[in-house]
Amino acid sequence: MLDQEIIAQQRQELRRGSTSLACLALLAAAPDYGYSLLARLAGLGLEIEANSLYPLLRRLEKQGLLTFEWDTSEARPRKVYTTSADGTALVAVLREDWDRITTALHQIGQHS
Amino acid sequence: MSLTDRYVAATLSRTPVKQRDEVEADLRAAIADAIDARLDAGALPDAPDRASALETAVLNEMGDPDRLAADYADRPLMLIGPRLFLQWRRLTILLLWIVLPIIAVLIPFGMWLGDESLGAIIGSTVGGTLTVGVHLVFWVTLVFAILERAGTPADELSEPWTVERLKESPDVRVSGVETAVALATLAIGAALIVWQQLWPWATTADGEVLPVLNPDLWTFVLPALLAVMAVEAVVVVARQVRGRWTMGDWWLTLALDVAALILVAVPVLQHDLLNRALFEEIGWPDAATTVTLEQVEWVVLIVVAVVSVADAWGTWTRARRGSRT
Repeated sequence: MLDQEIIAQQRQELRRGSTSLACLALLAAAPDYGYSLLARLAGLGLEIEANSLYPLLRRLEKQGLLTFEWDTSEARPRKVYTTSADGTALVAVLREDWDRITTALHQIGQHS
Repeated sequence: MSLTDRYVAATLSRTPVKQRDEVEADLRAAIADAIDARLDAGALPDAPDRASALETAVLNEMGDPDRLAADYADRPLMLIGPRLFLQWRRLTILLLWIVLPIIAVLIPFGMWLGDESLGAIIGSTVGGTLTVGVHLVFWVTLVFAILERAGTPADELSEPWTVERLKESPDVRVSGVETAVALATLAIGAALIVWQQLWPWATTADGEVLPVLNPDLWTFVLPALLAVMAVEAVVVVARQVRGRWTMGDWWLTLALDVAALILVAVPVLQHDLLNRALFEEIGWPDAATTVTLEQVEWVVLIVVAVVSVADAWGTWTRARRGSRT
């Protein structure tokens, strides 16, 4: 009987690192603010807690992978993030790795 | 003050001042957006005070403000991480092994000189050793916690690990450092014995030299002690050349340790290890102290005994492991 805790733990390991890539790729496609990005990620099946996403965005911004502007057009000011040129380049690099891993895992699946 | 205000204040109190304005705006927008999203989705329609119930739910989901602040500031949520943990553990254990035995000997000895009762000596020794141990662990941990936060990489604290650190079998190989330390100790000891005679501390009014050790001991004890040290040095060098410890080593070391101990013990028991003429000349021990020359001689004997026992014990454990392989 497969332990639910082990599943959750392994799944978390598998997803760790994919969140940054997903954020960078989504924000490269369309600039967005935190809560809306959270909804977009959830829509893709990549659930992430709000209390992880906001600090993550801030870290990516500090690393120069994202840039932001304050959007003051609405009642409350929001940080609207966009993927920088560096961020876009990183997405390309990571996407290759991602594809390689996917291909490799699929091959293993076919052989067994 | 609303719940959100309190939550934001709690988070900001743990946020570096420079980042506060930015984090506050970010956090308020995040909370308000989350509440609005739930209002739009029609969550908790029957709650009596819906807005406040939703606020509570959102804040509960955001979790511990201290954790959030640490995430924002990219602060580690651990005292010492896996990067430095092994160095921390090695250093702590090493220091405890070096310092605690010394403390556990010095405290009772000092109190014995002060004529304290046995109960007080035992109590202070246990208490004092524990206190020193706790301090030691605390200060080492504090330094490593600071290094962890400064982002010091592990290879700045020690060389990276390579297979050369693998021992064929624990402690069987003779370490060059150990040999060097042993030779240096012997050389310093021998030099002190000779030096105190040739360049005496004091001379009498009519120019007679006054060495620290009783000059009569040059008839046998001191030359014999120098000879024992010379043989010990040869044994140490031979062991380094051979590269491993043997049972023969242990017997020779034991014999030399016993010989050295006897050579020191005999004059101590006869109260003529130290040169009484010198101490009369310099007027110590004077009335201000309760220490006697006999006690100082006992200290010397105890130090020699501790060193001899440690040496014999160390050689025995290594020779035993070495002869097993």
